[in-house]
Amino acid sequence: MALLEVEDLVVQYYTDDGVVRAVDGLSYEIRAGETVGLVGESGAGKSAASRAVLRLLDGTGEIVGGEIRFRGRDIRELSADDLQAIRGNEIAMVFQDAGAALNPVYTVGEQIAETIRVHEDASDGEARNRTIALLDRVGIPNPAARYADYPHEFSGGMQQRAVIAMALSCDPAVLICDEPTTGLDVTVQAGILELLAELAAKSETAIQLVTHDLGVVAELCDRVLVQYAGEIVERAPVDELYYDPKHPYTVGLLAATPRLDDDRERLPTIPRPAPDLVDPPTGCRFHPRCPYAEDCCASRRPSLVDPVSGRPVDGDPETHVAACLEYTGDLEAGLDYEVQIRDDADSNCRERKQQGEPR
Amino acid sequence: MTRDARLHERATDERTRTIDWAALSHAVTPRALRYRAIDVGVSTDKRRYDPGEPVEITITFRNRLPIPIRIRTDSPNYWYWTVDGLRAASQVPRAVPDRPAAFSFTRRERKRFQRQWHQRMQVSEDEWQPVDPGTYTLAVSLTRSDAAARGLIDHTTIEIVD
Repeated sequence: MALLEVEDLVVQYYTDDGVVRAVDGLSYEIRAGETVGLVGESGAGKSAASRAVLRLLDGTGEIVGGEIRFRGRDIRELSADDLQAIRGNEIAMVFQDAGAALNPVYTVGEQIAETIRVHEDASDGEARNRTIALLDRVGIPNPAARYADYPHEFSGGMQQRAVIAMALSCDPAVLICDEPTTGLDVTVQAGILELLAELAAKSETAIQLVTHDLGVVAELCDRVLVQYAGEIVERAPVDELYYDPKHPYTVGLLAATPRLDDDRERLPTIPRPAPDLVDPPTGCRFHPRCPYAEDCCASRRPSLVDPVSGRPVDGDPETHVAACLEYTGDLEAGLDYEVQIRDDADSNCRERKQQGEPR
Repeated sequence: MTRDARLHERATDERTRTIDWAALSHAVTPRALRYRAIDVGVSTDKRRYDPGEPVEITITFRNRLPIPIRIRTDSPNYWYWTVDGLRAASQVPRAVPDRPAAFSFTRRERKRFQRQWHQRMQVSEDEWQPVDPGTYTLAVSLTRSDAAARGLIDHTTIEIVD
């Protein structure tokens, strides 16, 4: 059975401008030990979907539909006490801005120790010792001395490591990482990713990784969900998504990923901005930006189907599915893009790279 | 002094030093005046459109008074627009919680919002149909059952010509 199941989740925010449906009918599941990536542009509803799992929506956000089941229990139905027992203990979250996630007037060590004391029957000394071990595990140098440091005495990368240590403090079954490397410089990013990769490989903790960085997804994830304007437009095992993307939006994202060996003068971009979720486009939400859109795309919303058979999504999360009218036989001209996979046999490393661009 | 006592003192200080003008105004402004203070308007970029041409709709709410105004609505979706009576040009009802909320304006505030109608009606969850040439009424209303009686609606007409 899946550890975490999200079914037909709908999240809305209320503004003066109208109702923002940030998440619209999102369904996915995560099994123990699995790493699932949720990718998409800013404003696609990735963070809202992740925060909804722990009922941590801010402002006017609320869940108006769907189910979120953790080990079979519907999180929406839990009492405040039951939810508190799950937060941090069973499902932990690493927030995007580690600096804001840490309390500036408590020492970093004390904040982590407090999490342990709240969820487990640990004495002050035990919590302190475990905290020091956690700080050491996430790569904080001289952890016993840094225990008493305040957040402002940590660098950005160390703050993010401390937040990851806090999330790991109760050995959660699911770790939700909301853009954990955003805002960090490249070398620090690499360190954090290495830490998460090690965690994914060595523990049974399932990871939901929210990011807009496809390179990060390729490094860490087993499966990928591509979210656009609040909806999932493609879901696939990570290799299939990179080598055989089926949705034009995924193709656009992959084509816009910079590479060191790239000889193109300019990176291709997806034209026009992402839609305003107060007033999303009719039909396929990607159609105003899609180079292959036809008239039917504006009047019919595609559902997730198997690209080969055109049959609706089945229960198997490993099945590659995409939401495009091409796969239900509605497009006349079809999707005219080419995926190139480059095999570079170069010195000691052999890399497979691919690009997908409209021809 | 204990921590709780300090917090209580600070909260008391904040309550006495800061005046919530919006709440005060709401409390002392007669209800009828609140409704008359808000001017609701809807307009389009053109009067006549070719088939399929997007209709740019501008919705404006203006507080005419130099005091903050707060209007109670039946839902947190404070207002809606319609095409020939269909909300957001759709026959499919949207899930919006049925609970009261308040649409707030600062003094003389003007709120302006844009919508685009692509001359299509949503007929089911996954399908939209283009409309025929003809005259269509676009309207905007605050989400109140008595919006029409209180003058909190406006409408305009456009023509789609072949």
